Amino acid sequence: MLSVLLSAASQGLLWALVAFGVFITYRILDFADLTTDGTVAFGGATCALLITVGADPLLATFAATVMGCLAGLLTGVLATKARIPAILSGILVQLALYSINLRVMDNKSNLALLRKPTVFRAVADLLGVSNAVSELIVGLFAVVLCGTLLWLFLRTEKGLAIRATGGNPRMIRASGVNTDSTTILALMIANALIGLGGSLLAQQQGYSDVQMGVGAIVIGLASVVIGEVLFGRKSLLRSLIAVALGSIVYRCVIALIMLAPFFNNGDLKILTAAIVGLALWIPRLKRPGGKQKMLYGGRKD
Amino acid sequence: MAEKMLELKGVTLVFQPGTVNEKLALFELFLDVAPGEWVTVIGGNGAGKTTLLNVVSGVCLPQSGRVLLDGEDVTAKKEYQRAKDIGRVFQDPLMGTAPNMTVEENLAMAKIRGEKRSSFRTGVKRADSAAFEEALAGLGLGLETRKKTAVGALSGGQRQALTLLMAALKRPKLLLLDEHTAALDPRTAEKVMEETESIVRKHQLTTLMITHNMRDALRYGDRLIMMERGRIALDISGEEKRQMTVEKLLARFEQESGSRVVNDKLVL
Ligand SMILES: Nc1ncnc2c1ncn2[C@@H]1O[C@H](COP(=O)(O)OP(=O)(O)O)[C@@H](O)[C@H]1O
Ligand SMILES: [Mg+2]
Repeated sequence: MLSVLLSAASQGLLWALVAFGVFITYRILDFADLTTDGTVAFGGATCALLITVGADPLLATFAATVMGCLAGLLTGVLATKARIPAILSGILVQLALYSINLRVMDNKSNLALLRKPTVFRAVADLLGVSNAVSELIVGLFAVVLCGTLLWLFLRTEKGLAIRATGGNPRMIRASGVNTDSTTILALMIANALIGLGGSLLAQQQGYSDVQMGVGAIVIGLASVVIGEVLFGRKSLLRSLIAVALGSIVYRCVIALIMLAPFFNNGDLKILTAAIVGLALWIPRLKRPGGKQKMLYGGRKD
Repeated sequence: MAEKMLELKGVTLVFQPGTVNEKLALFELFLDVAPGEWVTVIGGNGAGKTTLLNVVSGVCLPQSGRVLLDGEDVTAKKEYQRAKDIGRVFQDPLMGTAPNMTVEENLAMAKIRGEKRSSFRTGVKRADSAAFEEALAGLGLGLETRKKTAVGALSGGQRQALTLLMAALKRPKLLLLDEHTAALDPRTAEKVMEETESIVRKHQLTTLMITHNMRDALRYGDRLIMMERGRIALDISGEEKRQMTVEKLLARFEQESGSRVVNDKLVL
């Protein structure tokens, strides 16, 4: 039981990176970015390919992050320069990434990393700890590092402009910000985080799979809403911590449900959908007629 | 500084040209505004007042004519490229602020309006804190103690007053106000108008203020223009403006628009 929860927690930490990305797009930018699913698999595929051809796992992880960033760039350009609706832009890139991911993995639906070096093994060797402990350490390190950088960035001048782009694009345009650029930048950062998450997930599970991103946006969303319901969103920092904790809670809940003999792995998606649906619905039930609150603190008008 | 802060030279703007919905919003409009001049703008619904401000700020690009700001031709510049010099307050109190961000974050964004935004400099700078507090205290709405409150939690009047503060924070070359008190209750509207007067006069801001309240249009500003069907139908200033009364203005208004004013909102 404890080991189940511990492994769920390290899964949750890695997925928290994806959740950060979803938080940026869905919450901060108010842009439902469906690139997410493709980007998780893209990060995994890029990383797995590079590791199998002998690249350093750290370099492979970094490359996956950059690739995620490029996927975000593409979605951003479609949505702003080509003026394609946000959802469709994401879907187009997600679809394209499916083919690209197959190409990256040499037209196979998965690419194994058996007995290959990974960042987890490297850290395990370095510190002389087990793989399970190493996963926790790496996950925690990545989440704290990315979360802190994200928090600092979102407080900078540029960060404020990005948040205002989601909150009131007209206003921030009138104060001299090119909202196309801020939208693109936010999508790049979000998908970089998601690509990073995908690459770490592939290394942790020992293979990358063309399907590994399916439902990732919903999982990320689940983490965001669970975190907000449980831990609040009074400030930006609080929200970021809530998202990370939400991701861990989500994994633990799923892991516990899976212990029941009735459920099998195929049921994961419907359980996730149910959790997200409920988590989005419950706050509305509590506030009759109330508008859904946007971001942290403020109201969506 | 140029002799004229704003010049519109024969501006024509047609919405959806060549369709059944074609709508002439501005027609060969000329307007010169001197530095520090405060112009109030009145006119019936659809007269083109908002479109005039949109052309000045770059939200709408005219089919013909030129727009000069402080001597510089800005006709082809996009809204965000002109933002450095233009502060704007809209009718809707929700338009001018980002609800998801705090009072001080909103002010911080206005503080660097039109400037390049750094990915490394902190947005809310400690050095600005005292100045922000003082400016907020000047509004007399108690906002100075709520710097860390999300703007979405403020009332419409508070948001509008904050928007005004933000629009004037960088001493813009041009302040554009579009019925900015129309959505507020009378007492709050009064307060925001007084604040407008004090800010505009203190910093001698060149201002275009649309209002549908003729009394405000006469009481405030140095000059009054009335728009009708995309053109300026009346342009008075100085002694002529001081001598003008709501009744006389109303008569002119009815004469110009060819209809009786039934909407008592105009004279309130
Ligand atoms: N975006 C737009 N598309 C089409 N027609 C518009 C648009 N904006 C304004 N108009 C039309 O242009 C005319 C002038 O509008 P506007 O400048 O908003 O008038 P005012 O502010 O004086 O009430 C109106 O007839 C209006 O319907
Ligand atoms: Mg108008």
